[in-house]
Amino acid sequence: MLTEEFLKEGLRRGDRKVIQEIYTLYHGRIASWVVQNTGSQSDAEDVFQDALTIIYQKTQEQDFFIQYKFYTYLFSICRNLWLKRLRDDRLRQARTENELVELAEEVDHFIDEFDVKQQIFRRKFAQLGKKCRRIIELSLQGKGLGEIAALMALEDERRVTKQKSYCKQKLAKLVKEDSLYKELKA
Amino acid sequence: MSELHEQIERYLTGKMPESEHSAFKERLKQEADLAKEVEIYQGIDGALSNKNLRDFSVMLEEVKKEHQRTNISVPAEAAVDHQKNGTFNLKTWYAIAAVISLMVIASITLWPTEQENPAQWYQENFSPYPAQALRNLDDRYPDGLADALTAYRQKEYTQAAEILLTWQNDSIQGPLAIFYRANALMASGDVEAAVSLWENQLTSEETVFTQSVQWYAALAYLSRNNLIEARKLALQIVSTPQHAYKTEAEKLLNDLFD
Repeated sequence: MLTEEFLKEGLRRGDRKVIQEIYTLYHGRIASWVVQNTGSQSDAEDVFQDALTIIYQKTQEQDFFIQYKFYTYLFSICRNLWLKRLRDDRLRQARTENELVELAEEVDHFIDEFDVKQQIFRRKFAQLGKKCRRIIELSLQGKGLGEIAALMALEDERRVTKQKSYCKQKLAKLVKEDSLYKELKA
Repeated sequence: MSELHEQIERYLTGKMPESEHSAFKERLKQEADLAKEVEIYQGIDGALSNKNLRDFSVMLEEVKKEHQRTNISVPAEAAVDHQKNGTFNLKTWYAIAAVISLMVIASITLWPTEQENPAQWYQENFSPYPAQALRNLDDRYPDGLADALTAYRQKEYTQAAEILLTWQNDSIQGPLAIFYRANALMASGDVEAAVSLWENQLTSEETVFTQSVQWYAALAYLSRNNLIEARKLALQIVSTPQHAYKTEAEKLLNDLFD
């Protein structure tokens, strides 16, 4: 049953079905808002994913719980993330006049703590093909080249090295091409 | 791999000889582009070090893609009105009616015509994943697993499935064991048990033989008369460039759904 608790608890657990529900219920509304405020569809996707990641990350902390309605909370984070990126003081001013100052401050604090650059890497990693993700994953788990070769049915260690480098290059390229990454580096 | 990226890898993993290391550090001071490249490579391991966040990002990306494919967001206005009023209004009913109509149309188009029989199609087109692929790899597997794969090769599918069951939770060989066990189960007629294994593999990060998993899962769904999932997977296969089972999936779609 779709309740506030179902959404909050499901997101804390990283439950795929709950995330699907959240997408179905709220993605359209939030994306519309971002697009209405000079963002592109792709900006809207990033903002939505980043906001869910922020909430997920926060809910992993002990003693943290969402005091507000789930949608209010999600939308506040999306909106503040996008306004921060726009650096639009006029809109930011209007925002704090119209909503709970307490919530705005809490959300701003989380956004400041959130490492946007790291999130770009994670988002781009998620966009790699399964094979690339798996080879990077195994390598992060500290598996040796021989073990990776066996696990992935690759001919030999040289092939693993080659494939791993190809995947890392691909990831680096995706990161470099990301518009937010470019902004952050400018 | 380019010479430059090879150098960066060696630099970051401490595998550069001292003389090359000093020269490379000097270059980093002078070449801004190179420094940026190194920074990105350094960022990869740091950003991906948290497994939970890494997995969560992958799941979000998958859900995003599924959502884009199905595109069934509640229309913005309907959802806002629902929240404001605490009850369904006319716009919401329109949205619900539209979704129901789409579902009805989809179920009609998905339903095969009378002369087409999914179970028969499955019988005619299923054959277990070829065992020859295992021949050159035997020495890589531990004894027990090698026995299971030998049984599989000899078409002793029930026996193979039984031994492979004991390897399913193995942290290293698990994904491979699941792949062959699901095949063995299908070959011995226990498709229902195979379906749950394929479902696990379709969403697992540890999947091996990704393209084969998609195809065999589609077949398993077909055998269980789950035509929606079978068709969904076949469409995914057909839309993947150079998918190993593209021809088979096209045939499935043509024979049963066109």
